[in-house]
Amino acid sequence: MIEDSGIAREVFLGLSTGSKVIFYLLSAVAVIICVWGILQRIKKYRRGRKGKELSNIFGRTIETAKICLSNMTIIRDDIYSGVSHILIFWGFIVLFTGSVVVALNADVLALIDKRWVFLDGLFYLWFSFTLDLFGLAFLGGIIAMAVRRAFVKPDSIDYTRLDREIGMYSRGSYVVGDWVFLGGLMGIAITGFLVEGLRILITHPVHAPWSFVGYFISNLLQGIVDPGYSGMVAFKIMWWTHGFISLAFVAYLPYSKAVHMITDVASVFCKQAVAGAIQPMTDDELDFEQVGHMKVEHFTRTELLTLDACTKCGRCHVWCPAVISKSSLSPRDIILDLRDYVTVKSGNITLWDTEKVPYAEGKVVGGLIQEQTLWSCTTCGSCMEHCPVSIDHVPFLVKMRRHLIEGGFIDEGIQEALTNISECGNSFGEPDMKRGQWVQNLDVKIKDARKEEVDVLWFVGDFASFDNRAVEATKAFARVMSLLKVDFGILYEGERNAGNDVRRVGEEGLFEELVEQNVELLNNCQFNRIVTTDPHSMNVLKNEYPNFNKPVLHYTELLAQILGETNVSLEKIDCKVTYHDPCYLGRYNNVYQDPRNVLARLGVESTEMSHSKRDSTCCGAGGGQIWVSAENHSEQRMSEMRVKEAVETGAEYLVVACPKCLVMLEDAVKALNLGSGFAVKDISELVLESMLKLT
Amino acid sequence: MEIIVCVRQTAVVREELEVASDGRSVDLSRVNQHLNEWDSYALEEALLLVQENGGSVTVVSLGPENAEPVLFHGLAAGAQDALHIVSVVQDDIDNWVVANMLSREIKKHPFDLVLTGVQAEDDGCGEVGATIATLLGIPHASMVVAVECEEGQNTLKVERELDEGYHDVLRISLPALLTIQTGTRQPRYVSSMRLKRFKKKAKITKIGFEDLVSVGETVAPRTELIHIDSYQPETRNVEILEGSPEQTVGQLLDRLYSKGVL
Amino acid sequence: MTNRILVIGEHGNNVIRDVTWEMVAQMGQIADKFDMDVQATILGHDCEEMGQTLSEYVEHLYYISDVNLSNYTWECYLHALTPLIDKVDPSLIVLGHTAMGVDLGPRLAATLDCSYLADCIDFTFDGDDLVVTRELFGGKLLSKLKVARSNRYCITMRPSGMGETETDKRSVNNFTEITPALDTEGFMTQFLDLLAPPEGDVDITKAEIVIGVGRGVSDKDKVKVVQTLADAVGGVMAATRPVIDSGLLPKERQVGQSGKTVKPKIYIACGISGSSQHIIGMKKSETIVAINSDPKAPIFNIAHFGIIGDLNEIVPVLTSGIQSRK
Repeated sequence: MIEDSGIAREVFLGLSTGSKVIFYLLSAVAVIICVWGILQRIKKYRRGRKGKELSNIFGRTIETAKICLSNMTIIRDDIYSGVSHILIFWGFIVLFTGSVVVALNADVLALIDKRWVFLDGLFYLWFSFTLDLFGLAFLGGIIAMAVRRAFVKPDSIDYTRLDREIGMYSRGSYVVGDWVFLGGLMGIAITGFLVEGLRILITHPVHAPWSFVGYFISNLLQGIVDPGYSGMVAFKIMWWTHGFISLAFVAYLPYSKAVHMITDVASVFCKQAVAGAIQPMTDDELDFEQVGHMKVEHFTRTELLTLDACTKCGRCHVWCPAVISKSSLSPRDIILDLRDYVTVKSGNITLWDTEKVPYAEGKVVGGLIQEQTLWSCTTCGSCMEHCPVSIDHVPFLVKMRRHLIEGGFIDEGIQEALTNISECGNSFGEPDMKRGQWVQNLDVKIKDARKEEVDVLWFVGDFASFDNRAVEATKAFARVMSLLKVDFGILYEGERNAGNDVRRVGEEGLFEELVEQNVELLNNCQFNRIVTTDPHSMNVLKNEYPNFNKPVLHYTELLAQILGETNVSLEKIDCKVTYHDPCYLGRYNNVYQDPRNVLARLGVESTEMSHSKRDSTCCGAGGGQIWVSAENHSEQRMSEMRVKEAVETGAEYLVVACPKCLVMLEDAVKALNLGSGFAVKDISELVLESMLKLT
Repeated sequence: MEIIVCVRQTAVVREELEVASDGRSVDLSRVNQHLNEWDSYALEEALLLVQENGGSVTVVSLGPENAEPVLFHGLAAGAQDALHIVSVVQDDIDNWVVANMLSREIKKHPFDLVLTGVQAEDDGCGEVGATIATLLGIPHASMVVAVECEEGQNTLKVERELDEGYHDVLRISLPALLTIQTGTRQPRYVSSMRLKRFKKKAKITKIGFEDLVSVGETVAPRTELIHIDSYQPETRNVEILEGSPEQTVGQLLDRLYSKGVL
Repeated sequence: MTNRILVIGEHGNNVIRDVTWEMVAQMGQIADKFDMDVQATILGHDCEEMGQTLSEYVEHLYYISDVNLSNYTWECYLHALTPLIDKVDPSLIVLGHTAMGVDLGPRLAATLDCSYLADCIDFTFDGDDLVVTRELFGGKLLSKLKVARSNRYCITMRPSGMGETETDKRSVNNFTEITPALDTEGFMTQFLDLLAPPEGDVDITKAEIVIGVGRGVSDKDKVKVVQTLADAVGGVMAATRPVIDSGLLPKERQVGQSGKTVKPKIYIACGISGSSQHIIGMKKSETIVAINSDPKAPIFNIAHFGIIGDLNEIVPVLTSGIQSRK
């Protein structure tokens, strides 16, 4: 039996000096390989072009610490994997810190002055206990994850592609990589405990029970392993096994999915202030002579980094309405395809983490990633909302759409809409003089904000001005504002499409023209705030136009403000409603409560759909989808899925706050032949109804 | 294949058009203009033929100085050269003058094919194409919906649209002129950025009327515009039903049933 | 200039086309007014009977017969016509504004070096000057043009779509057959084939009730809504060219100049603006109902009943109205 050296850890127990040297050499090699791997990644990122500068470094650091240390973005949508992950996360951190502490004491402090060693006494006892506890948590988390992968098999980790037939691709290496990673960690944990157990078995320290797991294991091994010579051999074998796996893991880290430990934190740190914000197009992001081809240099450094942050968790995939409606688009696959393409292009070595997809012509846009896939996105933002590591899927998609627009062969319906906007300033192709026509025959006089000063400048939008159904809601809002005595005006035929969807379809040049025209007009107007009907207009005017230094609000925010601040009496409306959160009002701009407050004031009975607020499913209009030509729509309509969900709540009215949602959902109601018991209503229509009841 | 495409800028027909105060022109100041829809199909056909068979495309247009955008559009879409026969206000122009001037310019260039749209959106005459062909002494085919090159021969096979859904197929020898019908191959989209880039760097060759006629020669128009009016249909016998949808439909059905139509 | 008008006739499927009858009738009126006489020509092969029929309605009928004229090409027609025109020396040559007219008219005029005006709605003589009325911008505006004094004019007339019109028989038995014996050696064009329109599942020309849709019906769902109306009333759906071009309905449903002509008991036009190319294909319907949100749409010029409104609102109400009356 080896002498117990007191309450401390004998590092390198029983190892000869030669072995220690070999171990240190191996460690050095492992570290060098690891560092080299990190450097090759950094080199890849540095090839990217410089994007927008990172603002507010201090704030970012705090935010990153909050998100990463709490794992909240992982837990919030999937408790099973979230809790498992936090156990692994903190387990790993504590165990790693533990190893560092041990190394620090043994290899540094002990050599300087033995009195500086602090890993002894009571501290050591608690240290040991804590490490065992977290080691157990770590192992528990890993086992839970393995069970999930092997038996539960949730859709999020089903790697089946939606854009290619089975047999045309292979993601086998992804699966291997997943198990190598899990297996590696599990191996480290199990061998670690076995090492501890064996050490306790052969050294029998009195404080053994503090290392309760090791103690437990040593008791188990009592009868099997002899504490003498064979125990020492077993210990050494297990020690080297543990050491080898651990060092191998260190070396393998930057070449595998394990790199997410670093890249995910970095990705969260670098995230945009508004997720999904689109940056202006630069000359170096696209090669005009080789449209569709992409180089590593075409991406920004942050983009390249975030591509490496993807862990294939699949949340973006299962939350994407395009996936649910069985189109060929999967946001997960967009990111993975780009990531793997960049990996191959940059020559980065990876182990079981890159899919080699065969695609024609060497083109990314239109080859690796098909056109039809790119046009299926509504830019609803569900992918970005649910991504735990702040990857911005939509900007990647828009970047690729820019290629398609430059190349000129695009969906007919989108082409027609863009041509209309370019020629007439609106997607309907109506002469711009007809924009203010809805005002005629309305018993409300609406000021011309181009000529008179107003408090509220109401930016109406294309659909709200030209679509027959949406115009009814527009008129209702006008009448409500008049009854509320708001001083408002519109831009009549001076208004042009705000450009949110033009930009997201990839027509950046036309977007710039629209911005120029609208800004020129607005600069000549006098107003205190802008209110929009359409959340799309609100999003782009507020977040992507040059700053007006005036608030930009959605009309539900204005209504909530006025109804909240004043004691306007409203007659109760007796009905059951369910509210649909528009993507650009909810997810993109965090306005969830105001429309609900307005409904509350109307005294209606409100019920929530199963997907509401940040989980709200898209009506299917955004990202140019409402323009896509008839033949190219997928069979299962998102709008119909949403209406069915609304009907399930038992509500009589599906309440909307966006003219596009109104049109899409009402068309779906008609297509589903739901009869007269269920209808789609705009919030303004309900407010007006309530106000008119009083008169 | 060397292809010349004749294009024209017209007002966007959807617009609210007003007759100018002189009663002899349309007030274009507040109206958007664009590439004539038929010509956009002709341009696309030319670009695709050259893509498939090699060669180059030249776009040519006769119009005032502000008609440049259609030529830049042509270049941005893929044409190699652009020619602008610039007309000035003083020039008295009708379709005969247009066809005549265009044919004089076209004659100066080597070509296998001249393409143009069947007609212009603004006047709907459909005469310039065939007139140019006659002046150039080349055969033409109008209302073309499909073009097929014949391998190794100097001829084309074209499918043309006739009335009542019929089509015919002709063989035509090159050089020739074709007028292209809408609905053939979808014209490609030219993005704003692309157009802007071409506006900055591309060159349009400018030609004046004086460059096309000999000294002292003028090409006189054969028609004179007397005046333009808004359309007042002479007889309008429609009974417009008024009211809500339910009311109007009810009235309509009453009348149809009583007339014995339904 | 002479006082002769020469009408270039068209035929198809062994009958003289409606447009020729219309022109003969219209020229008859002009001839009366301006003391001119109307002559006509038919070109073809084995068309003597048709020529004889037409000859009863004009001053003189020239039937140009040649095997190369069995199918129309501008080149053969041009070679056959030029000697006739030299001989007859008409001051006014008239064609219908049809596929043939658009193809042959400008070529003929440029070859003869005379003035040409296309798609005329109306015309008259002002002394020796010809004054015509034409549409601009798809019917939004009307223009009046003068063609200055000349020896010869060539025009194409817009087919009115009204078909046979009462004409006075002009003269008896002035029928001349000409056999030019065309030598097509060295011709630049060659006729290869005539393609009939595809059969399709439904022959809209035989239906009693036709529901036409235009640009206002812009996607599959809206087509479905109108189809429900068609089913309720026992009619068939048809469409204007833009709707066919966008693929929402098959080609055999196209009504218009380059599609089919229908003469049903009732034609309900949903979201159709009424371009002349479409109107010519349905103008002869006994009762025309138009539903359009634009009160200025030209379709209302030829409709019997009109509802100004959104077809998405009106059509379902119409459907249920019909169903409830059954």
